[in-house]
Amino acid sequence: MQNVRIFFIKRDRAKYISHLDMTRLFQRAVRRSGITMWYTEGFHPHLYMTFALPLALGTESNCESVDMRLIDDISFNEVKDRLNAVLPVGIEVIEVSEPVMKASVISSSMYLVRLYGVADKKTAMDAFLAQDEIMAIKKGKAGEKLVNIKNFVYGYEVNADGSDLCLWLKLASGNQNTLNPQLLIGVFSQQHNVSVEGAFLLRTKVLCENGEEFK
Amino acid sequence: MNLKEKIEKVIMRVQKPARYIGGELNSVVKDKEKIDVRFAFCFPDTYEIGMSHLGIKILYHILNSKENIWCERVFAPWFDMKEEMQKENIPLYALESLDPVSDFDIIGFTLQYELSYTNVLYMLEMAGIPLYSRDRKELKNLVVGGGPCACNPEPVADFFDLFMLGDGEDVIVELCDLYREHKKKGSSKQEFLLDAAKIEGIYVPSFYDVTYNEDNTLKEITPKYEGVPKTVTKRVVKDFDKTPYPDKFVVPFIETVHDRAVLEVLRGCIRGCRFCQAGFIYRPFREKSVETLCRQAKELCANTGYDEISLCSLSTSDHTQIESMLSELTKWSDKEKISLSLPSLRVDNFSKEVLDGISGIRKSGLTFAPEAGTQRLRDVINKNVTLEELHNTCRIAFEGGYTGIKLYFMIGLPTETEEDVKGIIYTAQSVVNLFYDLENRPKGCGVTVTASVATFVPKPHTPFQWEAQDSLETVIHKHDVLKGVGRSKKITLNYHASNTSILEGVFARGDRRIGQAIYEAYKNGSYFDSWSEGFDFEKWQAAFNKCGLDMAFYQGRHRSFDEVLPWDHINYGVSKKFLERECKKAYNAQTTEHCRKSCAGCGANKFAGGACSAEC
Repeated sequence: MQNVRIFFIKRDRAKYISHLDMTRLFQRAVRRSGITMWYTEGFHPHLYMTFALPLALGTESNCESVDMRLIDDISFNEVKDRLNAVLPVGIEVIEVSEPVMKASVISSSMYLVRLYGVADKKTAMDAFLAQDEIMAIKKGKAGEKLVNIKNFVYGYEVNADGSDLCLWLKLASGNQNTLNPQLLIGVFSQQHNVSVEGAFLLRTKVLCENGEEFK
Repeated sequence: MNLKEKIEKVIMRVQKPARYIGGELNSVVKDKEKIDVRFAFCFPDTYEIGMSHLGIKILYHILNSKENIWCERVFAPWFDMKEEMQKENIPLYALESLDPVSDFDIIGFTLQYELSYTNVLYMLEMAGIPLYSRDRKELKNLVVGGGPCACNPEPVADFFDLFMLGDGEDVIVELCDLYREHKKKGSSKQEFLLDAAKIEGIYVPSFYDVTYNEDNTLKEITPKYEGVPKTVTKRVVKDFDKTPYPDKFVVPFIETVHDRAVLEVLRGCIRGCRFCQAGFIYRPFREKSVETLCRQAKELCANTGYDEISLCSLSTSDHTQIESMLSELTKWSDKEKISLSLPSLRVDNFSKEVLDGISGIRKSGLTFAPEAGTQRLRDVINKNVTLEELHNTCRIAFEGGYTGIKLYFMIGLPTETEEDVKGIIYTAQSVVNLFYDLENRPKGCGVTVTASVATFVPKPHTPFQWEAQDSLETVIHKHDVLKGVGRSKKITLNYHASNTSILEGVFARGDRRIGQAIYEAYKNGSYFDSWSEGFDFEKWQAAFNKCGLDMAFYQGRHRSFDEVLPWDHINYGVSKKFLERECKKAYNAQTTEHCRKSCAGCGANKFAGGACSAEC
């Protein structure tokens, strides 16, 4: 048995697949691929599968990962090819490797956000992100809480690109703290009365405490 | 902004965005430039309901296997999505291309239950397509219908250009081929329809004149033109075993009602339960060979990744090779860790072998349907099940480790008395007693018997098509009788009185005049009538009053055998004479043996090639 970390992208229409539905999607994909993976033992055996980090509905990603345990004696490349042959459009395995780090060391994610047609709000966005305090209601397991989400913004860059506004955001991710970029731009949208619906959001990197990319 | 961008803008505002964006595995995307006929297959309910329906999967597969046809799926947007679509001027669109439904050549609705009729109007309106057939002048946007409710299509006849009756597999392809020819020629809609009406199984309602008697009953339904058949006969696929069946299903991302592989085992039914419309309209009885079934099961699971497969039919245990079928299927399913479920079992041929076949993976509850609480009433409805058989079956189940039994009953059946109603509780109680009398019952846990009591609605093409349906007051009174019978705490009693059954009864046996009321109610805000969120009986009463129509005339009235019925020109293979004979036998509590014991002469064996294989 071999632990494998399956890195995949989630693009286009696939961004509307919820995290819960991703579990079912991979269970079925593994069945279709014919690859033998390890199933939990017990009364209701199910495919062992751990996602490193959930991704918010509506956000695309270049760097998702899920861990499984491979039973078949086949190469990582074969796992990749056989899964890609049976995955729905928008989900594609880009690499299969042996897990290097534990998911618990993940501390932040990089996001690229494109807000359509609001390039004129660049100054407002700069000022918004430069504030010491951005208060927002976060929904957590323990209910709703008013928090300063600026604490979870680790870095940013704002550029106008034609008529659009592009943001590079480094936001908290992981077990300790997590900030969904949709919440951040949602607060901006409310304060400045700008529509950010249909915005393009892409997670480009998952980073560890020491700044390295999650492997 | 293109339509896709507009959709993406709004779907994050609504519940379950994945309902509205397509892209699922095995959904079919083609190059529309290379397509002759674009077919929008509409299911007039939510995504989760529509995606659970087998018929749409079969026809989607067949249409898309043709190079020049592209079939896409369309479902009814839920209330929240409707609001957003209207706000942003998004018309109803199909899930594969995200193109507006108004771009399509043919718009097909499957009519699975009567209460979805307003959703047909809702979807047409959301698509920007005129609701009445007469207001759609062009050949494009041809609105067609099919499914079980098409066996009396009169209530919705004015909204549809044509209906396909019976098995859809062959006729839907013939329809598309004919459409392509006429589209190429630039024919008018009328020219096309005149030709379409010549295809067996196609009914063009606008080609018939309907006249009424002074007492409001039907006088006559007659063809307007030469060449239009006086009676339209439903289609039957020639060779059921070889008829195309999908080797893959579109696999939804979100959980749907039936989120599993489904294998149709047989079509039709040999039983002839007199209340059951499906038991008559899907005749003759046809089954697939064990070899075909095993191949289809394997293909489906391999191509979808489902770990659950359900055998689908009106009565799976009536398959002539049930035991070898189950042993072959379980050999495979055990190895692949696939769970097999068998929802339609009868109490009179349920064996230990059958139980073993399904109990391999999960021991959930078992469901049986005695339907009525006394032997007399079971004989009236020709259920052909005795209390002894029910007890034998429950004994096998209890001894096999099951402790939960669900029993289905109906109230409102013809000739029903209070004794019959009370008999429901007595029957359930006898199953509880049986459990405790068993020496080798499962130890350490009690038994639960659930009695679910539904309300009977008389349906067309059945021996009870002439019967009066109970009023809501009578139903409520019968529920009081049920509640009044003392019962063990081990019995859970489920029943529900609702005006939805009344409306269902009206639509089921309605005539063409009902269409106005459906239109009025829809315009007054009625849609999603099969959902409590949508159903409002007052709106319906207002609509019927406005149209000068009386619901009780359609639903609560006993008809004489010589009355012209709104579906008399629609032939489902079962003759009116046979139904009359069966009805008279019902009044005498006389049963009819099932088709394998002796042929009752229903008429369905006359279909060429689709000959009845009940082997009487």
